[in-house]
Amino acid sequence: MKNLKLKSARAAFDMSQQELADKVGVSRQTINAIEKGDYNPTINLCIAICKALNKTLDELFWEEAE
Amino acid sequence: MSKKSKNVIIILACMITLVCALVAILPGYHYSTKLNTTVTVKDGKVDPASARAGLPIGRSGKYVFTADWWLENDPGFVTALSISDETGREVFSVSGQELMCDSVVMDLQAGIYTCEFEFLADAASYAAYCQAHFPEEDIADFDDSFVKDGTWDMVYSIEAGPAYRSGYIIGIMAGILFGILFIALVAVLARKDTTAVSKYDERQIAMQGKAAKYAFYTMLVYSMAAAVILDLNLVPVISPAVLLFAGAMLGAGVMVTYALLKDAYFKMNESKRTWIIAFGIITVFNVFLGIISLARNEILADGILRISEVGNLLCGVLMAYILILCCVKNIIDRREEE
Repeated sequence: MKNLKLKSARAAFDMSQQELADKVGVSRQTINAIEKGDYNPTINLCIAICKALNKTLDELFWEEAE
Repeated sequence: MSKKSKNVIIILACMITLVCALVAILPGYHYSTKLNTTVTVKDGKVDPASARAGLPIGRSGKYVFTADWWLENDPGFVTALSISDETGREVFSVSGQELMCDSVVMDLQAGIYTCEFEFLADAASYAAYCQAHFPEEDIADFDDSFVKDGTWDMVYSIEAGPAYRSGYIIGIMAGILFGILFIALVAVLARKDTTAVSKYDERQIAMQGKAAKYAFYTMLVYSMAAAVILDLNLVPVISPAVLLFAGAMLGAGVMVTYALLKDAYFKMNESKRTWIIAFGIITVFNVFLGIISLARNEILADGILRISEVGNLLCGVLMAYILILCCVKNIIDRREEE
């Protein structure tokens, strides 16, 4: 499932995938895979991304009930 | 001087030392000669009765002679070979319908050795030859069933090569070590930013795990198939070493393919271009050595495909495949980024 929340949070910071990747210490392809829903990151990486985007885990990674 | 430059200098120094040590330790010299001659047998008489070829040996040391000849149809005579040094002392002799053989290890001095081929088509000349060259051995009776009239274009090959298999093993180990040093050199050169950490991220490590799993299953299936092929001798023309080596290449190919397509092959902070250039160099090197083997007619010369003959070609094919895959992946990535 695509992670649109992450994509929009990144866009709100006007940050490219590469910039976010550099900030959290992973490759651009990994950020791309997370946004596309192709890869489930570990909790450590989730926290690093949240800190980089100034968001909480819930805001970026919790699935809302439909 | 930067850390990167220091590392490059250290690795280059190791490579040069390794090459110098190899040149000093290993004889590694091969000297060979060929004799092309046309032999006619008529009414039990052979014309010419003998032929000679010189074999220059440039450096004293321990050698093994390898004699070989090839012809589509068996000739109607027996070839006997004796090799003598410059003083006329015989150092090696052999006779038989099948001349393909290796000598024992011999201590040879540098000089020009004479390879004398005698063509025997009757029991009397055969017995005379054996009496002169192997006086203490029990020689089987001359079997004249193959003697027949005709003319044959014969190509004989005599080679004096390094005596010990340990030289071959040391050569292979040095080759592997040189390969590791080369990869280390490329890894240092490929680092874009020496202050940043060059590593795989968690997704890349997970993808490499999957790649290894697929490579493992591929090799498992291949190994079982290879075991059946070897047990039943289904492909006698391929030596077991080639089958094993091809399996390793296949496993590596599967692993690299999956890792490359999932962006898990190159570390972060590494220049793909440097690696692609390195792959290109390795490909050209291996294909070049493979072509030399082809040009020398070494491949299948004795009817069996050996690892020493096709190892470089197999490596070259794998590296060329990886190179093409890298280029294709680069194009896909660029389109994605656009």
